[in-house]
Amino acid sequence: MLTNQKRSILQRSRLLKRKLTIFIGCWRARLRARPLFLFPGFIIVLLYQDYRRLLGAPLVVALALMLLPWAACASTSSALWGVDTETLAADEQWQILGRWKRRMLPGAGLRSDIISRDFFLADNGRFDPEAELRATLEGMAMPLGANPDDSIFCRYPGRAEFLRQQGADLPDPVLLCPKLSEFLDGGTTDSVSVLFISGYLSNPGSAYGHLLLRFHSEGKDEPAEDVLDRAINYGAASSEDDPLIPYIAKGLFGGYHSTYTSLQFYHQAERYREIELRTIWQYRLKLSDEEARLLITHVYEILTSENRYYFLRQNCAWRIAETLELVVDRDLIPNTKLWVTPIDVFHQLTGDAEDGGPAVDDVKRLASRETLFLEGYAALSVEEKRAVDHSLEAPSEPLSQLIADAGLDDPRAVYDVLLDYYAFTHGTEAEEERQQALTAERFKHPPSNRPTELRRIPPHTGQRPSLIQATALYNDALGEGVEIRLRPAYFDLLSSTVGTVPYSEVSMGDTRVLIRDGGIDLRSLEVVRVTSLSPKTANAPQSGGVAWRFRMGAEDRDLACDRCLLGYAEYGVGKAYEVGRGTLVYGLMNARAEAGRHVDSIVHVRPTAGFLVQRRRVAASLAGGVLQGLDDTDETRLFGEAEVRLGSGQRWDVRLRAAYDEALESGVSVGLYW
Amino acid sequence: MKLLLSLASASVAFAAASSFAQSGTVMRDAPNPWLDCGIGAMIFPDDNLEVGAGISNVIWDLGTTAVTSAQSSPDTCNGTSNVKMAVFIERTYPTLETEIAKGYGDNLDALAAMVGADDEATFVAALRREMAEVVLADDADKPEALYFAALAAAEA
Repeated sequence: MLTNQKRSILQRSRLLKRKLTIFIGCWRARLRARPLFLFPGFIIVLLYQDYRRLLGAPLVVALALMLLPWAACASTSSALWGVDTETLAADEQWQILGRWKRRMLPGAGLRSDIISRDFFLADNGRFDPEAELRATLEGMAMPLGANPDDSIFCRYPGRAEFLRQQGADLPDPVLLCPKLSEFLDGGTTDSVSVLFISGYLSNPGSAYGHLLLRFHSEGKDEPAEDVLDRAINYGAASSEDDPLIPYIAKGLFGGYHSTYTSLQFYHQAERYREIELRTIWQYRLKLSDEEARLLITHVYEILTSENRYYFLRQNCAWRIAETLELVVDRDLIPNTKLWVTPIDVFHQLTGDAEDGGPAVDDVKRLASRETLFLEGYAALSVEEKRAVDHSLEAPSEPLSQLIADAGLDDPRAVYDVLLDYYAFTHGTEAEEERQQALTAERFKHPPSNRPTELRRIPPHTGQRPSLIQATALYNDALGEGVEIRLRPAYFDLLSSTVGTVPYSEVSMGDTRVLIRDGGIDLRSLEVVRVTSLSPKTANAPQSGGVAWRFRMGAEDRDLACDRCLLGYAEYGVGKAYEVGRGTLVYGLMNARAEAGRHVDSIVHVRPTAGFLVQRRRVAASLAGGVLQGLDDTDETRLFGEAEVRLGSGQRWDVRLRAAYDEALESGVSVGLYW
Repeated sequence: MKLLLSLASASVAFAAASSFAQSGTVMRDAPNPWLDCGIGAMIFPDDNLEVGAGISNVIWDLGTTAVTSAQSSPDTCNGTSNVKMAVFIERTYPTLETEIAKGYGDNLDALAAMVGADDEATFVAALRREMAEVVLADDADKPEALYFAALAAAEA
């Protein structure tokens, strides 16, 4: 460890060296650009000839030394380090550093997405990358001052790193900027991962998942990866206090400012893995030392910058992706969509390659506490499972007695599974007492060995999230037709996505149009649909919450009527049971409200029962029920639907469908995913 | 409000001190971040850290500047070298307790590194001995007890 005095001396000597370097750089560059810069020097020499007796040689020499560097560097700094600012300002990396993008209107020029005025050094810096570059070059030539962290050099270490990699003779900012050094864990931070947080159905803004960056440090005494790593998040500020409707409206139309936050990873792990029970997928990037340093220092300099948050496109996925594009030579934001979801970034990053592709070094799963429990339970022997079941069914019975009854010599596996269970359930006082007794009991036995993490199928290998589908159909009341469907995101009960919540569906803007008899009709526009069946399963004691579904939008009244659109909102609760691996039965009691001129009854109940089989290569669903009007009790209709998905391609599948609702309809669909 | 916070901090401090006296855990000469730095008065939202994003970069990330949210003297707290560890324990205690009971885990690895344990297996064994009784104590005092147990275990 360096003492403060030694560090101060070291910094001063480096600063002196840096000033000297800048001086020589300016002098050389100026000489190459405009040799006449020596003119003030000649004047001084002439003056020296005339007035040397009066002024004395030392004073004149001192004046010359003062004026020469001024003459070399006082005009535009474009000549610093011989930099061609026009060319450099057009460099893709420089434009990412300032988030400049060409505006949509013809001739409108560039504008940065960053809205913080104090982020830019030039007056017109938000609109002029070259002016910002010149201002940066001038700023980099300034002394660091008494507080280096406040200097331009230390405030913009990403720009400094970029210029260094372009050949500028600048010192390493990590050596001169204390706060940056701390941010980089003393300069040991040397690799970066991008994390995919699986979706969270309890919050509409989180249903599509989330992204984080994680910086790893390989210090002498630290593992290459630990929970003290720095995690970078991007999100809308002050959005939590708004009610749902303003929250959605502001999220869609840029009503929130957004920024980056930096926390040690354990804060995020606690939130996502332990509280929200979301599994994290960690994609460690394959970066050179220079690329990693550029990315990390750039993140440091944009931490305080603000953008506008748009839920559909300029969201967390977009911002993290554009940050990564600084060093990852791929389009991480799909340019075929008007929206971007977190999983899109991982499909782009990996190119759907199973091993992650050339940009990814390693993919690792960080399981949620609930997943640890489920997998731990599944790995137990029959006797051990019985002991866990018994413990949960009889929480007042002494644990040691349960173990003795089960005939187990070593209770550690049972206790560890129970510890995981109580770590994520928020139970009664009795359960908390049980947890305390369990923990105390566990301490009486030796530690367990850390289980080896098996390789899991990562989410980027699943089906892509956006669907366009064509269906050839036959309707026994209305005849043949072709249905075109566009679903921007994300997945349904039959999708072969990976890393999403089992037995759930999340979709947005699902639109179907029907071409029949030469006409085109809007058949349905489902604004949102979220289903969570959360089944009770034989492989997880005490499992199974409330199954629920919410959907709203507009759709034809029934299958026997074209151009009969009505608006609806539907919410249902019920129960689901997993009767075999990937096989489920469920029942939902739905309440439904309808509006429009094709409506008979406004309020309905819509009990529904369903059967579902999910496999990677094939999936099938069967659901049916009755729609009963409440304010017009004559409206009673039976309905049913069966659908089979064939194929598990990331970009395609084939589906067979039959449905009944006042008319029988069947069809064959080809779906393309992108 | 400040008065209430002060009273809350004082209560936490008093409760903590009482707890250690009762449990017999050695207080040692090491400063106590809960008492000296107001960690007991820090707020950790359970479900959304970004609610406190504005302060999080200052308090939670650096750890050593935890006094900015405390009711106590910064001078006192600056003498405490393990504030970062204390914040870590306060935030992740339930997870840490589970991992210590099992004998492995990412948070436990980090704790061993923070406390400077030479050999993690030895540290974990010693920590489990120290914590065997602590887990039966009241919830509010457990993080603090773990902090001192970890310091003691590192010397084992």
